[in-house]
Amino acid sequence: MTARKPVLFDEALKIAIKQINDDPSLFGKKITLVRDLRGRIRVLLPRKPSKSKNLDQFKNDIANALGAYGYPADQMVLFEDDLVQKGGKSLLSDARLLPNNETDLEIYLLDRQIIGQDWMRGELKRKTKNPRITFFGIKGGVGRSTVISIWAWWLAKQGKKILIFDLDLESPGVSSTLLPQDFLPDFGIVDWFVESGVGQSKNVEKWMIGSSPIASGLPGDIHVVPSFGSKTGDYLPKLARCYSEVDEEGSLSWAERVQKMVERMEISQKPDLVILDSRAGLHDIAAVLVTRMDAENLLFAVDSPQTWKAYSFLFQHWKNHPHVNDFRRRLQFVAGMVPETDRKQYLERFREHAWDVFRDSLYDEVTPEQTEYFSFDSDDEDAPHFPIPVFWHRALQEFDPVTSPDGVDEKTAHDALDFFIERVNRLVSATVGEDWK
Amino acid sequence: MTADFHDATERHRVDADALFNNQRFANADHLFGLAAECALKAVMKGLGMQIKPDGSPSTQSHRVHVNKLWNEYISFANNRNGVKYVVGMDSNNPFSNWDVNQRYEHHSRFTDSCVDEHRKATEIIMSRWIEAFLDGVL
Repeated sequence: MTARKPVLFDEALKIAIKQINDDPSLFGKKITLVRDLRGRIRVLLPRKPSKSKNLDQFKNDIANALGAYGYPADQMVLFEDDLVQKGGKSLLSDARLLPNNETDLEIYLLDRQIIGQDWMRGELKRKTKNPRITFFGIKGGVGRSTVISIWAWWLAKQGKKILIFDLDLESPGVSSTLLPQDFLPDFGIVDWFVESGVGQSKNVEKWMIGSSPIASGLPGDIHVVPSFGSKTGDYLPKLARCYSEVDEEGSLSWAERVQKMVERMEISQKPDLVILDSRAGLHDIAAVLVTRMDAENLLFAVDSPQTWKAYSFLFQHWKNHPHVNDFRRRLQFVAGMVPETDRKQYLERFREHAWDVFRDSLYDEVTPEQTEYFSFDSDDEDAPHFPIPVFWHRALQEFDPVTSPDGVDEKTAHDALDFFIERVNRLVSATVGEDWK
Repeated sequence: MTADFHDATERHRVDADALFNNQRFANADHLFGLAAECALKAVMKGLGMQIKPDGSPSTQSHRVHVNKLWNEYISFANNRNGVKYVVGMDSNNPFSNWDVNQRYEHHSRFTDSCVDEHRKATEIIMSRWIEAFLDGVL
């Protein structure tokens, strides 16, 4: 007798779907798979079916097929009626529809994860109307903070009022670039999360906005909500408490808490534009800022296999996002740090790789009879994969506008960011519905 | 005896609801308190509470009824990565006026408003319990 090959995590869901599709008549129209914190799967049926003998057989079969990723047969099937009666109705609304090409059965997945759920949730409602731009990079060190600083400076020169949130909490960057020590407000974002957890957000809210000196003398202004303030003190114990999902109102998801903080600042500051600097990588902060904040998303990248592999993980996951049709229109690649030599060839390679990532997951496969679709040719300049370039410049490497006596060097800014400014202005104009300069 | 907090939660809760709906407030109240206690112990067990071979908690401070267990549970869950299972519960224990020995009292002492408080608190606990159940913690 040979030992059975163990079932691994990513096979388990496919096995469960296959087991269900083998005899869909047992389940009616809809079935939900509940995947627990450890990845173990159970089946949730709307109600008890009449033929319990067949169900008993199914329980044994699926428990056996799932191995370590199943439950004992007698615990394998749950009933919605039961859960609703016990007060679990609201939890069921998180289930998302899975693709099923085998039968007409609608199969949902209720994924009970510790973290990472925001990558698959919809946009949050907000009261404010100002445009928001999220700066995201799947990897760090691609010049995000520098671009934010120069672009904000350029916008302030045009008379715009910019509000920037440094939400790269694990590695604060833009706060330091824009706010020298003397300009730091008393508190920062970590203080807000900790204090709002015990119902005291108002005690720090008014003292967590700093005014960047790089906008002094300009018609507009740059206000920064930094990760930390001058009175934040020990940062790590606060950071560790930032992600709890409880605040003064009781249970509130982390995404809702971020939305609440950003919205309150927007209401008090009335900015023309909000910039959300996200933490890099596949982190929960990024999940919220990219998919849930009603923002346009600039996806920073350099042309490297590691970058494209990481983006393809994310895009593949988004393929089944219930709101993918809405937010895929709000993504835009930015080629950060485009090298000084062979720029044209570099950008062409970048564009092809970005196109591959979009085409494999987020662009529609277009059939001749289709009239509405979301798909672009590789060389379409308005396409989300077509990179907005930020040119690497020696002066940018040492960019530190707050300590330099001349602030931002105009020539450096133009050399590096002219294309960026033009394309992103167009993007914001399209969002607000007016020419935005 | 072998304690089964999961099963005991369900049967006490179902019976408590049935009695409450029939205005049998005194015994409903008794069972709401027991359902709440069993649900909390089920989650604590899932979060790593030590138990004896008979299924009862090893630690003396955990071998108590809901009027004492409520705060014990909050602190235990908070220290065991179970902060999501205390949402909606704070140190104002709604069962502080509940006592298992009230089963000997006259039924007229149990008003519908007082029992309703315990019913609502049990509902909150049940919501946390069901989350833990779906998470595979129980």
